[in-house]
Amino acid sequence: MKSGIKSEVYDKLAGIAGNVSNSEIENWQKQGGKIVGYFCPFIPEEIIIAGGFLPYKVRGTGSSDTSEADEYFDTKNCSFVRHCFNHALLGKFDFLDAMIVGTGCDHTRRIFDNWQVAPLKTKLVYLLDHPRTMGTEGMEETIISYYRAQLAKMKEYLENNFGVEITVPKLRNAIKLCNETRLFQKKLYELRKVENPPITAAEMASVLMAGASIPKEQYNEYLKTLLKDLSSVQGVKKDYQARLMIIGPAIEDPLFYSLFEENGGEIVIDDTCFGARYSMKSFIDEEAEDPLHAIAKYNVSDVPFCPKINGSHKNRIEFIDKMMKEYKVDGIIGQGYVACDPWGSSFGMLSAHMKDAGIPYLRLEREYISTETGQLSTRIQAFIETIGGRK
Amino acid sequence: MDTDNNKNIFDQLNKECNEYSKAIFLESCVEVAKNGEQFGLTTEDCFPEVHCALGLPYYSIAVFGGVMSQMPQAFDLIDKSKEMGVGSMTCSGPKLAMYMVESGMIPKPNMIITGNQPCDAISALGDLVNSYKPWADVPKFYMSAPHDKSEESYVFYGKQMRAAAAFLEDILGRKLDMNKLKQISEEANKQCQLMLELQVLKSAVPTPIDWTWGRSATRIARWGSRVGSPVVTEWLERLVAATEQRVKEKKGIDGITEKIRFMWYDMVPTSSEKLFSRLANELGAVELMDYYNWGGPWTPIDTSSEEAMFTSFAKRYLKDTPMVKHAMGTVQSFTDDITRLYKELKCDAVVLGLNIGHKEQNAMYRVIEDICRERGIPIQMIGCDLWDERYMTGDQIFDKIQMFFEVSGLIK
Repeated sequence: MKSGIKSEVYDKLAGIAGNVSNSEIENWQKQGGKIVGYFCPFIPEEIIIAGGFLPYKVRGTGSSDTSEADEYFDTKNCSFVRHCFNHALLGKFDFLDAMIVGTGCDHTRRIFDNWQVAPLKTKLVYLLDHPRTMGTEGMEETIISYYRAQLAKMKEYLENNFGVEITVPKLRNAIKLCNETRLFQKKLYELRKVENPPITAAEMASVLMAGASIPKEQYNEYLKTLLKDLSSVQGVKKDYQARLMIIGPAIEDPLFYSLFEENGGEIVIDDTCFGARYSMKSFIDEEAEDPLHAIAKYNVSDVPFCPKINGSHKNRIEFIDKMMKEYKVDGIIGQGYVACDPWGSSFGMLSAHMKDAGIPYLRLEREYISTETGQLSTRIQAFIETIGGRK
Repeated sequence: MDTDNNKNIFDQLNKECNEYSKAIFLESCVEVAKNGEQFGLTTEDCFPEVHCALGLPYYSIAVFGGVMSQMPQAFDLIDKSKEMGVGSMTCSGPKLAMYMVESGMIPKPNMIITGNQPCDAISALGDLVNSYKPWADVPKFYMSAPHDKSEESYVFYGKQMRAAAAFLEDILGRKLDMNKLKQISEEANKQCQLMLELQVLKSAVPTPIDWTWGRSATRIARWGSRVGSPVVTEWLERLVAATEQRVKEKKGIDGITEKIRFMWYDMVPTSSEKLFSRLANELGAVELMDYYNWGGPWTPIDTSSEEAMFTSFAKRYLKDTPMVKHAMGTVQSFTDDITRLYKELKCDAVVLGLNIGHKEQNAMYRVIEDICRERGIPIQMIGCDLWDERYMTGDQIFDKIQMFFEVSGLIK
């Protein structure tokens, strides 16, 4: 996709996002560095970084079919998981030295089981048990302590298998680094509050995706430069009809964003896994006496807006309402993958909320890689026209 | 014991079971609400001993959904749940339960406990229950069942169970009588042992009783308000004794000439009564094990201290309850149990429903198939919707199973 941004750094990040592998990964490996893959934002990259590893968020970029993965997963399983696993079977993630899978949902969790038996180069695979509730009042510390213990086990797994030591100072440094990433990304998001944002949703998605594929120090430098490049740029005046917020799991298909732009919609904010849900929340306590506890607390109490976390609906609604006001949103898009139970149910509840609040809302149940673009485009166009007519 | 007498005993047991089972159904919940009694709702009952000790009527919404799937209006309600916005491929059982909540079919409870177990669909049902506006003022407790199978995970879940019990105590305004809980737990231990004995008896060739008896035992011994009641123990003792008598007399299921022994390794489909009866009558294929027929072994509740009791409730629930154990566990926990039961029950084949809604099972079907083949276990994946016959009728399932038995050489 062609970008209007004139920035070398942006071009570099877009290139990284557009491919599964990149030159930074190759350089990292040439220097003897190890790479640890993961799937879900609940798996703390801070611990991976503190071990001296490069955390790599597995994605299905460029995948066009799932025939290899369908030998392991049924077609009733989510296409995100199948595309990613297909890539793994094709050897596209052979650069990974270890893989960490979370107990997030019933689909992603089985990657652990299938990874163990599939003929993959990466033999080390670990299952991290993540709590599925923020806890009832009075129970928060029990839940956090449990996750802390699980994180300690994951830390030991990395230490034992790679002969490294993940110390408290290393953890604090990693927290600081990731907090810095979130801070810069948050600043990028803020650029989209204006009438004509200097960066589109698709461009933003590329920048964020790249961040989970290269060393954080380098990425933060890129972000600093990009922010500088964009701060002097006036957004191109566009004749869009509606400012939109998009909600759901990770969107890693830039083509999907373009469907909105082509139909007169400007996505200005999101609530997606590696989008605003990652960037816009609070920071992890850098000075905490027990960094593992701070990381556990952050992942249990501060970023639990994913619907797989029981009792999170209220927080999700609060976040959406807040973002709608800050970003002057006209309508909401709920997009999720076919077969996703947590989001499937959540969208039903969001629909009721939006109806009560009089907020235009469009629900799209789709596949990870957009194939039925004609049908999607028609629905998006009709929705945006409806909003345009109301304004 | 003569034949007529044995038949009379089973008839009497059936009558009593039907009466006791009423306590888990929606009709009972409506009646309790009408009488102004306090009652609790849950998405999945993890500690029946506790609410029995508290004397609290307590209902599983998931069970309501499962039972509703057998009603004539089920298809209509499943479609209406889709219109509500529930995911198109969400399991139809929880989908029905979601519709029942949203449409006001379930009376407003006094307390709600939800959790992530055993699967995403039930977790989603919990989220919907927690967000249902007419129940906004109902006190709620969230539980997080761990996937990890270690002592610390059981302690963690046991702590949550204790806190959930305290939550119930606060609302009811009465304390959990630990002596009563101990008494109920010890009685429940006896009941679990009797269920295991029943399972062992069923391994006789020919198997002495049909699949419905295991389901009956589970309904009253593991679900509802009679768990740990001496009445249930006595019922189970009579069932075991009558079954033992049939084994001694080498009697199989009445009217069936047993030729094939198989497991339906899941919850049974809504068409099960007709399906399993056809398989038995037409092919001599008897169904020996499913998730309702599960006889354990169940972890005994350690009643030596309060903490020990709750930790062993956690173990019994997480480690031994089939759907929880398998849906939340690894593929190994699934296939190891298939292998064990296949041998213990002297089965000829295993049928996996591969329910459309059981995403975790669909996500490991190939590995299950490979492991079973390596171990010499004939296995067939069906790919049905357990709660919606429109996806695949009982007759279509029958045809698939018949073909599988034919190609496996089980039908000569």
